Amino acid sequence: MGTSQQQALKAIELVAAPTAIQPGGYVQKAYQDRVQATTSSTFINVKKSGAGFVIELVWDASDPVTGLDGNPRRFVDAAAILVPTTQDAPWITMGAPQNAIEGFLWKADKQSLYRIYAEGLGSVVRSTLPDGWVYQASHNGKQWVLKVTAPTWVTLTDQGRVGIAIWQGSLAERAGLKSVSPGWVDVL
Amino acid sequence: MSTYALKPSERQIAMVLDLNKCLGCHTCSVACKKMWNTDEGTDYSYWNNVETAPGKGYPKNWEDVGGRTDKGAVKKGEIPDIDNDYGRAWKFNHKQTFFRSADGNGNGVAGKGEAKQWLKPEGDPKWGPNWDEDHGDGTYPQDNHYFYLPRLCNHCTHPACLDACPRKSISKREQDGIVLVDQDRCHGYRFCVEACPYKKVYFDPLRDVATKCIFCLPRVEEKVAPACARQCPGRLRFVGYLDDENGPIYKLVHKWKVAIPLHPEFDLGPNVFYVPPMSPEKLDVSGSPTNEDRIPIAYLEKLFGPSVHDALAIVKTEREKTKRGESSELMDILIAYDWNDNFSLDSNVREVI
Repeated sequence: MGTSQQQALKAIELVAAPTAIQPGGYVQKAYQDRVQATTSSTFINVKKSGAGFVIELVWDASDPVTGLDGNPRRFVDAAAILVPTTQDAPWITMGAPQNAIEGFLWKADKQSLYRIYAEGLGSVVRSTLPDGWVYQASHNGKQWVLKVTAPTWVTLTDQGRVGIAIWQGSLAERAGLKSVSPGWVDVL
Repeated sequence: MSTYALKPSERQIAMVLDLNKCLGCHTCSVACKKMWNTDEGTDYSYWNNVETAPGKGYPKNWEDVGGRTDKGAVKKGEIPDIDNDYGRAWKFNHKQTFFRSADGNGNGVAGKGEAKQWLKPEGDPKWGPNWDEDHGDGTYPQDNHYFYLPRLCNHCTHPACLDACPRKSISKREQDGIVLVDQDRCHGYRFCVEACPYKKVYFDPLRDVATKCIFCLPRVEEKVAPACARQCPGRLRFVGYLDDENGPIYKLVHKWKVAIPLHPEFDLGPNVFYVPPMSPEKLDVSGSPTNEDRIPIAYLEKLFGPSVHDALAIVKTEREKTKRGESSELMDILIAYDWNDNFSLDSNVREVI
């Protein structure tokens, strides 16, 4: 990624998602010392394109993992961009009842994006995205570059802000073990 | 203990395995595997396996890498590696061994002068379900020893897997305490695999979901014992409900107190119980019996906790009674004269009339 390209992107410092609020008794105790973000920052650009958007997300991944190779111990790289569906939807808990969040999830071993919807931690529902969404993911040796084109995204048009989550597969990151934007980020 | 509010089961189904009768034939493992795990993705996983103890087990070193300390506290567990800890499902060189001609184009036997090809696994396997079978421990002939330890999900009263799932994809049935994974909810995060100290939750990398023993739920609902128990030629498995005072489970666990859980220190309330193995005596250097147990009691205590002492003492006492010609309810149960009596899922149903 060249410098001029990066200048068009907005830099976002990331934090470790807090494990203390994870549901169940295991994760919060087993991972209580996990306080540092493993991905320190990401770059995002959200451009309007007609009624829709072109979204570009870039982050460092020196050891990308793109497949499981049949191994339970392997986890793949992933990223998600989410939007609040209401003014009060909380980011760090992935929404709340009646204050949902929605967006998409990219996983490096899948051929399509997931549409995701959540009303709190542990409540994520995955489904297929509406027709017309396309994406391209590439790794340039140091970074992932993810470009997503959405023909429409009414919630993003209304809210103009996103939350970002990055998972490094090489560090066994999944679920609540992730680096996230500290809050909603204005992108429009 | 789980931080999820877990309603106690109304009843708890359970299994008792008499380790004095296990001959390590693996019929249980095969019966289970053929029924539930023949697909690619589940091919490496054995909901039921039989390992040699002492040994590293399956997956390798499972006792050391679970998500509970020896005080029952949560610790970060590990997810076993497919090559080093589980072992991938083996593919064999059948074609090269059985269907090879001198010119290498199939059909026939090895040509004159060619080296014979032995049947062997392809690749370079590093571990598998029976990798250290019959190795055991000790020095021949003084104190060499081993026994077979069949293992399956313990359908714990406080399941570590359930406690570990951030999606609440794992539940414990109220009517019988069977622990199940809802694969429609599961997102394949594998905290359950990591947390279970018995390493009895598996991951299907093709479907991206956790899998585990379901205690042959469709059979149990028809009052038929799980395949591993029903197919056991050694008649060492007993199945029933813990609160059924007329059934073998209650009698072995609560009345006679000879069936005890594996690694009770994990504090999860396992509902699979074992009658611990008796030992022949050690020999001294001259080859004479020493009156010491061949299987070190410290090892059995490590596996089954301090109650192994009492359990073994009770079995020994009752065995002596039968030797003297006296009757023993315990020995009658363990001998399993009629194997139908091993299963008590419904008093009106007998497996074979």
